[in-house]
Amino acid sequence: MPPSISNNELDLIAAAALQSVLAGQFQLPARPASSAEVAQSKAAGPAWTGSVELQGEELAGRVWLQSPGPWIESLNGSLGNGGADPAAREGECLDLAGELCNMMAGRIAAGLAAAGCRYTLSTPTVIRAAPPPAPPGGKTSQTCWTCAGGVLTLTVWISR
Amino acid sequence: MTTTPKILSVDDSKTVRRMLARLFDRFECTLCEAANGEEGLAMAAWEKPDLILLDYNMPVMDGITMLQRLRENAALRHTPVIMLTAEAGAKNIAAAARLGARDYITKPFEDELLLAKAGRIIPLVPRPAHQPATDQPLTP
Repeated sequence: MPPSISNNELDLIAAAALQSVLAGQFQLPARPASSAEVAQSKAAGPAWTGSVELQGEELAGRVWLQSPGPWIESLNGSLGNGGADPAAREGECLDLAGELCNMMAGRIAAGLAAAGCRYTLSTPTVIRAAPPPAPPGGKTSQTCWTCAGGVLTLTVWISR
Repeated sequence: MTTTPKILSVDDSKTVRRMLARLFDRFECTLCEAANGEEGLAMAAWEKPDLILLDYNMPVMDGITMLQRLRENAALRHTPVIMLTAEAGAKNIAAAARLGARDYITKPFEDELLLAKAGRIIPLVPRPAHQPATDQPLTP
């Protein structure tokens, strides 16, 4: 039977994953968001939510990363994308939102493996909305982060 | 190997392919791209790259299957492959190693680590506009 992870451990794994991706790959430092920042971010317009399934032999899990639309568009532009065609930009933003979640999910899966819970990753899916509620049961970590003027919400659900 | 080394990046994420293109644009090499393993095999057969950077999880054909098919192809079986993927599981790393992947880098990746590992396989000569401050070209 796979070991159980505490909520606190899950929060720490999620936090480390987010910071390693944003700071390590994109040179964007992040800090925990204040409640005022979280409330303000809800007025920022439609979010991009990337999602990756964690697939284990005896376990299930999922990672969602919700990012503000303007924040994703700005990061997309900083990568040298963001040309004149709105449809192309939309596709780039969708891809970026998915890849951010994919990278974080990989780091989260590695953290869970270090604690004895092994998962592989699905390919990411992206919706132009807030994430759905986590399934009932299991454990859920949800943390909000301020990064480069935007508030990101990272949610991790594992079935045990 | 051709005078200018050729790199094939195979990843379903355009973001990653774009990041790799910008990174390797600093060096005298050419970069071609594919969005899944099936396209990657076709591109490898056509372009005969000197190095393949290969993602693991992709639609249509994943990285391990593409790696298997490369090894079954007499013309391509010796092409060096570096896995570049968010998957960090020991089983995945072992599977890639059994199929002869030269190295395995997990995302998020450090640019300098990727360049160092690629530079052990192909010569990475800076383009004149991107000469490093030390004026030392990167060589394997």
